[in-house]
Amino acid sequence: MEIAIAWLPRLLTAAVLTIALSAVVFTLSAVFGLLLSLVHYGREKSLLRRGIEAFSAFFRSVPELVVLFLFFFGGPQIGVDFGPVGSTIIAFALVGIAFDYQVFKGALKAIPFGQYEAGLALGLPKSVVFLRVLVPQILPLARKGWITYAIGTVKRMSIASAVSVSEILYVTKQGIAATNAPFTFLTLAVGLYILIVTPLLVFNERKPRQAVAR
Amino acid sequence: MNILLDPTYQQMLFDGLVMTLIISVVVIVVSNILVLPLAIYMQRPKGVFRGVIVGYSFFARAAPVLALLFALYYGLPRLGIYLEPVPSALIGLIFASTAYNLEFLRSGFESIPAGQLDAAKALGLRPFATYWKVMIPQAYRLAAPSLFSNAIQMVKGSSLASLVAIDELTAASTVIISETYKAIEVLLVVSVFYLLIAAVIIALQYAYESRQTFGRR
Amino acid sequence: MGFVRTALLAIIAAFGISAAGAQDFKSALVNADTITVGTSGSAPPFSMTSATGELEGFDIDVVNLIAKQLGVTAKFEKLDFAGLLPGLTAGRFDIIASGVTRTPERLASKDFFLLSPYIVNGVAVTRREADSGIAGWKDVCGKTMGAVRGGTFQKVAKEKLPAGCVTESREYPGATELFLDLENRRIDFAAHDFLGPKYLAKSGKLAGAVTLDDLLSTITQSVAVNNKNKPLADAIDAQFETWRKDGTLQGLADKWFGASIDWSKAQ
Repeated sequence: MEIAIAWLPRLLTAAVLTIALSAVVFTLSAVFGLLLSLVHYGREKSLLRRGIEAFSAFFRSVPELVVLFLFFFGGPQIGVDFGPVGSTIIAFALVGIAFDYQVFKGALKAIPFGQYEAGLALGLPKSVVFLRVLVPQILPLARKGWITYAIGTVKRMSIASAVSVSEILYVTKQGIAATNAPFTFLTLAVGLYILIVTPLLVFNERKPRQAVAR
Repeated sequence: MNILLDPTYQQMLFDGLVMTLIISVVVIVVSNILVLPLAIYMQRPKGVFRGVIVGYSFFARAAPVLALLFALYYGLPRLGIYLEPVPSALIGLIFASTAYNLEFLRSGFESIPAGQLDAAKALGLRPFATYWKVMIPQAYRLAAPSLFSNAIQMVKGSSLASLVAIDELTAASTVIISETYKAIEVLLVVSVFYLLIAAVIIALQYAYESRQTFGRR
Repeated sequence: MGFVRTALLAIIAAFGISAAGAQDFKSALVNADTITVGTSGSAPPFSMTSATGELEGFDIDVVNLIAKQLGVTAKFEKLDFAGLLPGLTAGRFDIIASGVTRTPERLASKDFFLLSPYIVNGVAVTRREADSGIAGWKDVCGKTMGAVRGGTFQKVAKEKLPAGCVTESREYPGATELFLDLENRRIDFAAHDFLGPKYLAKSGKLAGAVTLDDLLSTITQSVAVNNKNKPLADAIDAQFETWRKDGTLQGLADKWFGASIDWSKAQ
C-alpha cells in the first residue's frame, strides 16, 4: 500500500500522457480515415483507391511496435529525429488511419449508392452530399467499430513504453523493477485503464439512432 | 541482408514464424466460433447471462492484454494453478479478442431494421431460418471489415506471447537484434512475414467482399 | 561502399590522433555540450528508477562522474535494453551505460567502441533457497534453465557446460519475469549475472532465492561509445584507467553491490 501511494503521482501523470496521446491519435485517425473512405466514392477500381487500399493493407498488417521502431530508429538514419513522442504519434496515427478507413468504408457500403446519385441529380455540390447526406449516416453506423478501435488505441499506447514514452505501462514496468511488487502495480495499471476506457465504453453501449438514417 | 543468410537466424525466424502461425490460427478460429452464439444470445431483450456477457465484454476490452497474460502466467501459480506458456497465451488472447469480435457482430445485428424480423415472422419463417437466411448474412456483411481487421489484430497480438516465455516471431527478432544491432534490417524482415500472413487474410476479405457486392445497386 | 567505409574510418582515426586534447570530443556530440546517454532504467542496481522517477544506480553515478570530469552535462534517455545498442548504432546516443557485458562479439564490433572494464562480474546460478539440490554449476545438468531473452549469460552457459547438459530452457523479456517464474517453480535455476541478483536479494526485492558464489565464467562490463566519437571513447577510457587505480570504481561498487572488485580477473 505504501508503495502504491509513493508511485501514484507518477502513475497519474502517465495516465494523463496516455489520454493526451490517445486523443491526438484518435482525432488524426478518425479525420483522415473518414476522408480516405470518401475518396473516389463509387469508383472502387480507380488507381487512387487501389493506392489507399495498399496503404491501409500495409499499416494494418505490420505490428505497431515494428512501425514505431522504423520511425524511431529509421528517422535519425535519414536525418530526421522525430523523438519518442513524435515517432509514437506518427506510427499510431498511420496505423489508426488504416483501420478507421476500413471501418468507415464498411459503413459506407450499408448506404444505398442511389442516395449519392440522387443528391448530385438534385444539383447539390459533392461536398454538401458528403457532409449533409453521407457522413451523418455513416458516423452512427461506424460508431461501434470506430470507438472499439479507439479503446484499443488507449491500451496499445503501452507499446510506446519500448521507446521510453512515460505512459502507464512504462511507469508500471519501472515500478515492478524497483519494488518487486508486480501485482500491486498491475492492479493499479488495470484500474487506471478501466477508468480511462469506461466513458468510451458507456458511450459505445448507447443505442445508435438508426431511425434517422432510414 | 546477411542476417537472412545465417543458418542460426534462419532457424530462429522459421521456428518463430511457425509459433506465430499456430497461435494466430487457433486464436482466430476459436474466437470466431465462440462469438456467433454470444452475439445471437445478446439479441434477446432479456436473458440470465446478458449481464455476465456484458460484464465480460467490458472487462476484456478495458484491461490490456499484456496485463491479462501476465496475470494468467505469472499470477495464477500463487493460487496453485500452473498453466504452460502456450495455453496461457491462447486463453488470454482468445479472452481478449472474442470481446472485440462480439461487439463488431452485435453492432452488425443491431443495424438490421427491426421490420425485417417482423416481416420474417409474418412470412412464417422459423427463428432458425430467420437467423440463418435473413439476419446472419446481413450482420456479417456489415461486420465483415471489422472482423477481418480484428483477425489481423490477432496476428499482431500474438507478438505479446513473447512475454510468457514463448519464442514466436517478435521474440526471435528481439534476440537477433540484440546480437546484430541491426534493428531496421531485422524489423523489415519480420514485417514482411507479418505482411504475408495479413495478405492471406486480406485476400480472404476481398474474396468475401466481391461476393457481397455482386447483385447490389 | 568498402572504400567509403575505409576512408571514413581513416578520417575518424586521423581526427582521433589529432584530437589529443580532451575538448575535441565535443564537436562530434549528438547534442552540443551534452553527452546523450542511453540507459534501460530497469537493470538494478546498474540502472534503475526510483518512485519519484529519478534514475539511480552504478551506471548513473559513473556517467555523472564522467560528465563532471569532462565539463559537460549528462542527459539520460531511457529505452528497453534491446533498443540501446541499435540506438547507439543509429546515432541517437553518445554513450550507452546500462551494465553492457563485454562479449568478444561486441568488442570486435565496428558499430561502437566498448571500453575497458568498469566492473568485474560473473555468470552465476540463482536458485530457490529451499532447493538445496543445486550447490553449483556441476549440479544443473538436466534441470530447467531460465534466462533473459537476448542476454549473454545463457550463451556462456551453453558454451561452457558439457554438451547436452541443458535440455530445457525458457527465455523471458526481463529479469522481473525470470525471477517470478523461478519463484513459481517453472524453472529450476536462472542463468544470470552474479552482482545483480545479489543486490536484489540484499535489498529485499528478491525473496526466497539465493545466488551461488560458484562462477561459471568471469565477465566484465563497461560503457559503449558512439563509433563516430573516438575522442570521447579515449577520454572516458583514460578516466576508467585512473579510477580503476585510485579506488573510485571500488567506492561505487561498495555503495551499490557491497562487493570488492578483483581487477586481476578482468581479461
